[in-house]
Amino acid sequence: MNAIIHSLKQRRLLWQGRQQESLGTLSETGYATLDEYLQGGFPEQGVIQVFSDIGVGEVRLFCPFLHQRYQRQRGLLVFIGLPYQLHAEFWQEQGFDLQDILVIAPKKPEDVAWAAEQCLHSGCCDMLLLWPEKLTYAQGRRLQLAAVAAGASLLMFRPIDTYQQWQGMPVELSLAIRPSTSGIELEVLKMKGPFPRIPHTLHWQRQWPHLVMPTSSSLANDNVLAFPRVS
Amino acid sequence: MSPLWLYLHFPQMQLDSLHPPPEGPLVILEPRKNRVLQRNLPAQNGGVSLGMGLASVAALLPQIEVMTYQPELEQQRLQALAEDLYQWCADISLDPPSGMWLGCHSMLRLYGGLKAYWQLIDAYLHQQKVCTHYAVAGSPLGAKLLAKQGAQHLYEKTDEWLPALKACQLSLTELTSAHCQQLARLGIQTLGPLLGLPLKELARRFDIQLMTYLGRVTGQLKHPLPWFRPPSQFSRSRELRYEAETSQALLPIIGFMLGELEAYLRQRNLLASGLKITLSLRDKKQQQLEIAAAQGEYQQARWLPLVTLKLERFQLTGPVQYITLSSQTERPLSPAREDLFQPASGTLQPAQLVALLQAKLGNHAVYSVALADRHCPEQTSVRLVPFTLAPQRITAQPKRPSLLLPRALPLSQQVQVVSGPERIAEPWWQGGHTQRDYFIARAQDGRWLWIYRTPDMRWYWHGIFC
Repeated sequence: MNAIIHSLKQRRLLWQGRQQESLGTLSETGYATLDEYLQGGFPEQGVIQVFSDIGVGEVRLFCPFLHQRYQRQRGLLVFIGLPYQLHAEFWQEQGFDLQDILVIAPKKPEDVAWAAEQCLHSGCCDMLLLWPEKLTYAQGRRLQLAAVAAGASLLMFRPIDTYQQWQGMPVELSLAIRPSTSGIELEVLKMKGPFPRIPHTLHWQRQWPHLVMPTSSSLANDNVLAFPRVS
Repeated sequence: MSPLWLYLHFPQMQLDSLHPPPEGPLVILEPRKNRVLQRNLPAQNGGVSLGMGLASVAALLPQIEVMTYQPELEQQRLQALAEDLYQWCADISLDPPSGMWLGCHSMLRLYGGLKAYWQLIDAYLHQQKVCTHYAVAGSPLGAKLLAKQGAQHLYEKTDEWLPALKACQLSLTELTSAHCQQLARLGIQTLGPLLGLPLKELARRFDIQLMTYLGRVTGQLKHPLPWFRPPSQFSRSRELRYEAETSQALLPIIGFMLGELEAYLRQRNLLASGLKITLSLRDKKQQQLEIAAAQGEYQQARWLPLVTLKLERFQLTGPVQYITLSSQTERPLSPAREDLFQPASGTLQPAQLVALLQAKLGNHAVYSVALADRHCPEQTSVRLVPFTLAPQRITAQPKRPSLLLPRALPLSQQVQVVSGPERIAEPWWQGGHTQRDYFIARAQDGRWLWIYRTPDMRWYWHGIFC
């Protein structure tokens, strides 16, 4: 076998299609069509990497998944390196007890990985949401191992234009998320085992009715009258 | 029961308190009188004897290490020893700088005799590696005199200790040198002949002080002693053998002191939720270092990583000479309840994790959030010290963004308003003038924004639905 291919296989960056790897347990996403698309759901533990712009719905996508975990485990929900300030009202509205939310805002970007690793090793954090500015391959690998060992879920959010650069990161699932008028458009970049190649449009009128574009039919039924300006 | 006093005299306490113990020759010098007060074994083997001057010491052993005598350090160590001995003995009286009395008559029934009692104390002193001279006698001053004489004997009965006392040199007693000289002229060198003189004659020739001393040393008069009360907080100091220039060099000694703290807290079944380390610097103002652990800790193994992280970020302004470690708030130990059937994979409690993170990242970098009963969106979400939140039922409003901007920015991009408005105004009776109409809008690039319009038609971007 080609030496390069062999070394890539050793580093688990490459695997063969017929190889049936144990995929780990999957957990429901909270959206029926998405479960079908991902062949079961999000990985129960480990790292999920998300490439998107901030504000297209990248965190909202995981809200049912996080809430379901929270109901089961009552672990801490930790935010590290948030780009803006956390708004408590939203998270309480989503059913999280604010006492179980911890925000970590390291001043130096290199402390983000350290803080995340400490949280994972502590065993009391079940869900970690991470906005890393920079992360080396070795740090990513350490975080993945720590997350799997702790049985925790680590969500890593990155700008969408960097996904070429970060493809090699060791993760359980890598997604690209783009906005769509009725929800979001999801593309699996990397997943253990075989995965669908075509992007999937997730409609979430039911879950997030106030955050979808009104369809033309609902616009037509809109009973707002335009009053002519009195001259 | 007739009183019995055990006197412990520590002839080289400052030397024994050095950590780590010196390997080469070392003397402790009294600078004023220029004489050696304490010397270690290598120095003794090199020919250094007590009372020598610095010049002769340096001539004998040129590479010798010299430290100045500091009675306050000895006193602090004495205090620490007394705190530990307090668990075996109720009546302790300190005799600074380097001695203490233990009243053993009241403890004999508990321990079943003087021998068993002494074994306990001896084992402790051995473990502490302090050189001790001791003696037991029926009077406090008698015990002290015998210990200084180097008796190393437990005299239990009066007919045992009184003869031994009579053989003691007058120069070791607490009599003034004038008295000693006067007595020497009479040919009296030891206590025996002095006690043999009739009291009436003595009273005619000497003053009341000598008479009282004789009465007290023989136990005919009472010698009142102040009792030692253990302090309610841990605070100990150590001197560094070498001035430490980097914070990393401080770690071994701090680790050792944390071990002492652990022993102290464990004896009392306490937890400390904060430490204060005071570093005394040469020619500079002293520096302080505070380390908090909200959940309370007693173990050295838990404190040391926190101190290490704190020291990594700490800038020393000068070389350190002394370290003082004191505990901040102590409270009784009550272990957190853990699940018996589902042992946690990790090893830390949430509060322990927060203490660890705060030690490295700073106190403000780790926080939790809470709801406040306010209208203005930027005031509804407040930052808190983690795990200090009292459960409070405030209903969250629906349709709120997950992230807020630290300050609302003027809206500079084209957006499409999807829903709204929702008017939020501060109550006028509380002096608020803010009135905003909030809208949910979608930007051209597909991001969902929370924007508002002020009464004067200015548009701002305030939150983001991520």
